[in-house]
Amino acid sequence: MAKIDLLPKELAPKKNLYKIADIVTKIAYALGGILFISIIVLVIIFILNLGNIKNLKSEEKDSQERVKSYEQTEQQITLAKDRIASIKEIWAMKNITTSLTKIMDFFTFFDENISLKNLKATSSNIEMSIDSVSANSTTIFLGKIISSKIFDSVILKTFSFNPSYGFRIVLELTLK
Amino acid sequence: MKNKYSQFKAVSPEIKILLVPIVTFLGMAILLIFSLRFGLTKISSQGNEIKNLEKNINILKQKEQVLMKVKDALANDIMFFSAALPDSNSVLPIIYQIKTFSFNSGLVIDNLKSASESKAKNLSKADINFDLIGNLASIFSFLETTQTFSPIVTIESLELSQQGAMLFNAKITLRGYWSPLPKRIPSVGQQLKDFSDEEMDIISKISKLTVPAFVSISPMQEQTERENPFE
Repeated sequence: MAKIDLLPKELAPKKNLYKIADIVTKIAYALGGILFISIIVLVIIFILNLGNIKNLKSEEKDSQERVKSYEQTEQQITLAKDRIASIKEIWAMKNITTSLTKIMDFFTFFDENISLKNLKATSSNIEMSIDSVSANSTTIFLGKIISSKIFDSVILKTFSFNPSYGFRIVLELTLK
Repeated sequence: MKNKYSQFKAVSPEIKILLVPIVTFLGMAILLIFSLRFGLTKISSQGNEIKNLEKNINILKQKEQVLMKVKDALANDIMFFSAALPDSNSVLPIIYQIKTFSFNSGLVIDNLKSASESKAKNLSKADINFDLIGNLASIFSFLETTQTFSPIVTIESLELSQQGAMLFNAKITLRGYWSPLPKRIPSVGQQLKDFSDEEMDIISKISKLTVPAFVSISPMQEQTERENPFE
């Protein structure tokens, strides 16, 4: 049966409008297709991630349980680390302990003619009184102190001579 | 009077043709944008959760490995830490060490006294003053030995004076330290670092210190009924 268009020709829509409407409809369908595929892909990823999260949570719980079983060891490590930090702090403090080797090295400069009268050591300096029965030994001794570079500064405070004990030297040594 | 639908009727057929496709297009576009946005946000938050979980698991695995490694190695050394830096006043064990080692070095000990406690931050300390009488080599040998004392001590002052031909009097101040024990252990998920080389070196030094050999107290004997001597 033939189609009868009763609309007057001047009121009939332009033909290209049908084309545009057709294109827009196709694009809308394409978007619908993309929407459908996207939703499916997103749902698949979402479900896979859910499974992954579930597995990871279970793995995390297991790991936590295993770590908890080592609680005593963790306590020991915490204690050890705390003690080590404090001991490090103590050993870093300036005191004679760190200079003890230097003081002991100093005694290697002594020969049979030189003897220690007294010594007073603090964390920063050493004051000592030395008796020597030989002028030659005294010279060698003082030369050794200066060339040794054990001390930051060497101050000769007094230098005296008495026939009963020989030479008496009072030195003030500053530790490096 | 105009009919309320007269305006609709007035819509041109051109618009009528485009209306349905455009509405469909816009509807699809809006749905696509919103669903993508919603879906991607959800997946992104899942991704973050997965990353966090993986990070936590890695931390826990690393922690477990450190704990397993340290468990056997540290078990024997832990008592040395408590002895080297006790949680209570260390003066008495230090005095014990001074007496033992001075006796072993053939030195005479005199004027042994302890100063009161002083506290700095988390570390408490007390000075122990004493005189040692003996030859110079023995005095220095003793001073060297103090570095093997447990609890640890530092030499704070030293005064040497000659008493006789080979006899010296040494006025020594040793400082003893102690510190309260940590009250909390880190949470399960917190990272645990393995001991550094420097820390291992300190552990090795501490394990070589001489711990005072205190007399151990045996458990109480079971009480038995006393016999009546008048029966």
